[in-house]
Amino acid sequence: MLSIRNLEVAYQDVVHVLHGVSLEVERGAVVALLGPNGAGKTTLARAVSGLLPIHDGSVTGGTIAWGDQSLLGLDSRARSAMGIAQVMEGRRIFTSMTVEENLVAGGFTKSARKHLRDRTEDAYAMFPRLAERRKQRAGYLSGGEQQMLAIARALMSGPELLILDEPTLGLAPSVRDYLRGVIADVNSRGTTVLLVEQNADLALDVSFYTYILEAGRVVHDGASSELREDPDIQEFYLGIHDGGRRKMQDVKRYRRRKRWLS
Amino acid sequence: MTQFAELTIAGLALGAIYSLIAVGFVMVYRSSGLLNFAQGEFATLGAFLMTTFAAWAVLPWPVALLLTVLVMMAVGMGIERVIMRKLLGRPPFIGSIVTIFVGFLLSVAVLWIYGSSTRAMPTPWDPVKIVEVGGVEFTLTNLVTILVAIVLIGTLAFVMQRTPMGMAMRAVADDQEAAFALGIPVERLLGLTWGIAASLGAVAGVFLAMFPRSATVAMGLLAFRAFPAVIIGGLESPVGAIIGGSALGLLQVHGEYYVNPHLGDFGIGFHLVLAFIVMIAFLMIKPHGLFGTKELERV
Repeated sequence: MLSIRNLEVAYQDVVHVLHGVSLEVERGAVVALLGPNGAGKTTLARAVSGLLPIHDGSVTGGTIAWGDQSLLGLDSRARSAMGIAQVMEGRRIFTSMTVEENLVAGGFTKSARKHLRDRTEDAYAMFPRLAERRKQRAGYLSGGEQQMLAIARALMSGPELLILDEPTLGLAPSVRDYLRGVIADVNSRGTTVLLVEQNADLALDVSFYTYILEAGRVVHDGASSELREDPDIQEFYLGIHDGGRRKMQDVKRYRRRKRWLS
Repeated sequence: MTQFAELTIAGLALGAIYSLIAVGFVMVYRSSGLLNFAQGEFATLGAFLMTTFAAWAVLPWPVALLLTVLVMMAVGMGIERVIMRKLLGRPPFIGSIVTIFVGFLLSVAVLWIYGSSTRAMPTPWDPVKIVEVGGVEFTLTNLVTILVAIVLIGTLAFVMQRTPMGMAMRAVADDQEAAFALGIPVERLLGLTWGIAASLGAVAGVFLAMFPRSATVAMGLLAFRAFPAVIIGGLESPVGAIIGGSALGLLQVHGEYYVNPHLGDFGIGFHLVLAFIVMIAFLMIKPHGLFGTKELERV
């Protein structure tokens, strides 16, 4: 289980991004982290996977633990060895290398090296599109295929916890639906998923539990099916309201009502 | 015609040395974005170490060369571990400036250990021996230089293209953060890159110091003449480094023979300038070189 308690993160010791975030991800679950731009979602993902130091960020308070072991002070390689993998926002595949070479690089960690062949086959079974393009340069793949490759590459290390940072960003709706299935599929094979998303519809759909992060704080959380029925969530995140043109008065009310969130 | 063929072989031999230096330079640039100005000093230190192992310790020549390569690999990895790793995540130009001082440190170390005298580079073959094939004469040293460069660069290319370790190293060069996220030991692989760059530089130094030249402290400057090779080939491309290095060697040797005499007094040493004229022409017309990508930055 991933448990984060009162996590505070600052960049360059002055830019405070997370102000005491607590959340839990049960083993085997899909948990979504939802929030607008700049809420600190990616920062939280980095704090878990150990990428903060690269961005001159550091945990200034609180704890992060995977199972009963604290992750604080471990580098990304140690966390990867513990079974934590992250698919970064923007796919970030190795564009000058072929699809297959990307997968090999993904399986370069010590514990993964002996499973290289099996896992490559698994990846191709899961994404037949990648199998067709295994010798192609990854930079020439379409956006959707690149995202498949990024997920397949992260799975090469055989992670127990997979963090997906905005996997559907900038992709066509059909690809988004496909990835929805992929997430469920990955989860059904026993991998815990922490899904960081802006797309509320998708996040609420595939996850069991959802946290809503705004301005560095968790402002709301609950079972995804319940949140979907919540009138505030419907209004602010799903864009559902009673229809008709809105008056300025209503918009003002919107701002007033949104205060409960912060 | 014979003359032209002979000059071509001599040019390719010089080009092979430049290629070794340039490939090391490109490897460091690609993996960490640094322009490694210490690359020339790797050649100097390597050449002097070789004279120590082969002439002073009287080791068999191939063993001495292997030992030189291993020691220089350790030196390269040590520089990454102690100095460059502290600069990880900083803008590359800071690291590039630091390499200038690393180069100074290395040349001071050479001065301190070996003094300012020159040393002859021992060779197991007769350094003045001439081989003749179909009327074309060239020295055995030239032939060995070309062969060693082909074997070394070929092996390196195989490792980089075909082995998981090479793929992981290319992954680090492609996207360092993504490599971190996948649990790839980025720092260790960067260290290995420096080790390889240093040992390639050392081998280049060994052959650069062979008869009629010798190992001197000023060799770092000599090796720095390989810099146009990197610009011609493109900073990011190992293939470009090889082609640029060969072109540079040919340009200098042919230039010395065919161009210099026509310029009178002005022509003395003009072939060295010629390389830089071509480099400047490339910077103006094709700034990313023959094989480089467009979004290159310059220091």
